[in-house]
Amino acid sequence: MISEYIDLDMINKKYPNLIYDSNKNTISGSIKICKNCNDEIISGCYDLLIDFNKSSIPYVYDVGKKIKRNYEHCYSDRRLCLATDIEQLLFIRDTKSICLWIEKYVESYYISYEYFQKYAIYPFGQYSHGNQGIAEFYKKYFNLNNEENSLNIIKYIFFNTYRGHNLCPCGSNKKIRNCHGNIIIKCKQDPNYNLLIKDFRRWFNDKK
Amino acid sequence: MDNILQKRKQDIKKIINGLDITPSMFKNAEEKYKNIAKYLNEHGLNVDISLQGSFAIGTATKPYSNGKDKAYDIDVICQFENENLTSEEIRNSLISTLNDSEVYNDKIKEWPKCFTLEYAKIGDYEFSIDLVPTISEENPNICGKNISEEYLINVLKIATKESKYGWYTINPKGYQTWFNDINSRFALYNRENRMRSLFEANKQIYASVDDIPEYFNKSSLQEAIQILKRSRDIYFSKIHKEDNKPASIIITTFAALIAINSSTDIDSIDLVFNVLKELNHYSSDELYSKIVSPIIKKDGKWEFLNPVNDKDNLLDSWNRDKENATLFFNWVKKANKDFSDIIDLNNNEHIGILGNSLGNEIVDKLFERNKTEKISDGVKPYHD
Repeated sequence: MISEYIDLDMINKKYPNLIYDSNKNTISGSIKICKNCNDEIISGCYDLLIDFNKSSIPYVYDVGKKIKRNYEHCYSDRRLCLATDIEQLLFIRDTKSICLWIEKYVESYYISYEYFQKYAIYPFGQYSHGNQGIAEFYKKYFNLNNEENSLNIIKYIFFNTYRGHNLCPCGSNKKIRNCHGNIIIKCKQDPNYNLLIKDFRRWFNDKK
Repeated sequence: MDNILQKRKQDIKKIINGLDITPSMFKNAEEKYKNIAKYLNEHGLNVDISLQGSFAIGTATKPYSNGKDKAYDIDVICQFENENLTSEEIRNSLISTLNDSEVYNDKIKEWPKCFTLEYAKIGDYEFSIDLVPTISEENPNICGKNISEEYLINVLKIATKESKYGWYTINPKGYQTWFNDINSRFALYNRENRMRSLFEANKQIYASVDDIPEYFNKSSLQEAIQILKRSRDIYFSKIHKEDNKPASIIITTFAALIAINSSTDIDSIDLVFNVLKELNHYSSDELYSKIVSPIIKKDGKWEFLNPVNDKDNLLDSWNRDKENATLFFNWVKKANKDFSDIIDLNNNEHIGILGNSLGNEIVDKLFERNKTEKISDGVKPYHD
C-alpha cells in the first residue's frame, strides 16, 4: 500500500497545514509554495486533498479550485495530472517518502501551472499525451536516445530471467550488470508490477 | 498618493541604475578598447576605434540570458583608413595582428560581421568587446534618397565573411547623430543636478564634474529605453525564445520617435508607458490610422525603416517568421501589465513584480530581500 510511505514527521515539519486522517487514509489541508523557477518567483497557497485509496499512487485533488477549468493537466473531477503514474510510483518506492513526493511532484505541478498562466509555456516541458508520453518517460528513465531500446528493456523485465553477463537489452553492447542491470533488478523485484504491466501492454499494443 | 507613485517610479529606476555599468567599469572598458587601438596602430594598422551601438548612445543594459545576468558586450567600430583594402585583407590583417599579441591571441572569436574579444572576469569587471572591421562606404546615398545629409556623413561598410568575403553597409554614426538630435533636449534637462550627484557618489574616480563621461548623463529617454530593453530580455528568456527577441534598435528607434512629441520634462516611466501604449496599437489587425505612422503593415508585410538607412527594414525578421510579431506584442502586453502592477499594487506586492519583470537577483540585492530557493528538478506534467 502506498500509504506505508507516509512519513508524518517529515510532512508535519515541512507542511504544517497538512493533516493526515488515518480513518479515511487521506491527507488534507493546504501547502504554501514559494520557489524561484527560471528567475520567476512563484508563490501561493493551495488547498488540496491527497487520497491514498484510489490507486497504487496517491491522487491529489484541487480542493481550493485554484486551477482553471481549461487547464489541460487537470481532470474534470479536479484531480491533478502530476506526471505519469509509473514515474511517481518508482519515485515513491525509491525514496520511501510521501513528503519528498509532495515536494517534487505537487509543488512542481503548481509552479508549472502558475508559470504557464503567465508565459503560456511549461517551464520544465511536458510529456505528450497518452502512450507517447509514457514512451518519452521511459526513454528518460532509462537514459536512452530512442523508444525502441526502452521497449526492449521493458520486454526483458517481463520475459527474461536476469543474467548479469548477458548483453544489455538497451543495445549498448555492454553487459547488463555494467549497464541497466540495477534498474532492471529493481523493476523485477517490485511487488507491485501492475502499473508496469499496464504501461507495457498499452505501449506494446500501440506499436503493433 | 502622489508620494507612493513617485516612490514606485523611483523603485524601477533604482533597479535600472543598479544594473548600469559603473564609472570604474566604464573606465576599465575604455582603457581596454583604447589599448586595442594603440596596439593595432603600433603594429602597422592604420585604424580608428570608436564606440558604436548602445554604448555610443548611452542605452546599454546588462545582458541577460537563460535566467541570469551576463557580461557586458561593447560594440566598437574599427575603421581602416585605407579605403582600397579588400574585405579579405582587412579581416586577415586584423586577426593576424591580434594573434601576434599574447594579450589578445587567447581571447579572439571570429564571426561573420565582427571579432569578439572575451576578457576574463576580474572582480566585478566582466565584458567582451565586439570589434567591427569597417572602411568608409564610398557611396553614402546607398542608405536612401530621403535621408538627411547630416546623417550620411560617415557611412561605413563592414568587411564580412560568410561563405565568402563581402561587404555590409551600416550607418552607426548617422544613427548616433539622429538619436542625439532627439535626445539632446532631454539630456540637457536637469543635467547639472544629475552630474553633481554622480560626482558626489564617485569622487574617488573623478577629479571634477567635467571629468565624468557624458555617457553617465542619462536622460529620461535613455532611461526609458534601458527599462524597455531589460523587460524584453527577461520576458524572452522566460518564454525560452531568446532567439526571437526584438532587436534593440526597434525599441530604441520607436521610443525616440515617441519622445519627439513628448515634453522635455517627461518622466522616464511615463515615457515607458507611452511607448508601450503606442506599440500596443499595432497589435490589432485593424490598420492603425495615424497620418504618419513609422510602423506600416502593407499586404501582410511589416515595415519599420531605419531612419538613417532605408535599405534596413527593422522588422524584416517579422516577415521571415510571423511568430516574431506575435511574441513581440505578447511582450508589450505583459510589460504594460507588469509596470502597471508595480505602480498600483499594495503591501509591497509590487516588489515581487519588480523582481519577476526586471530580475530577482538585482532586486534581492537592492531591496535587501532574502534569496528564494530555486526549484531543482522540475517535473513534466502528463495526462492520458
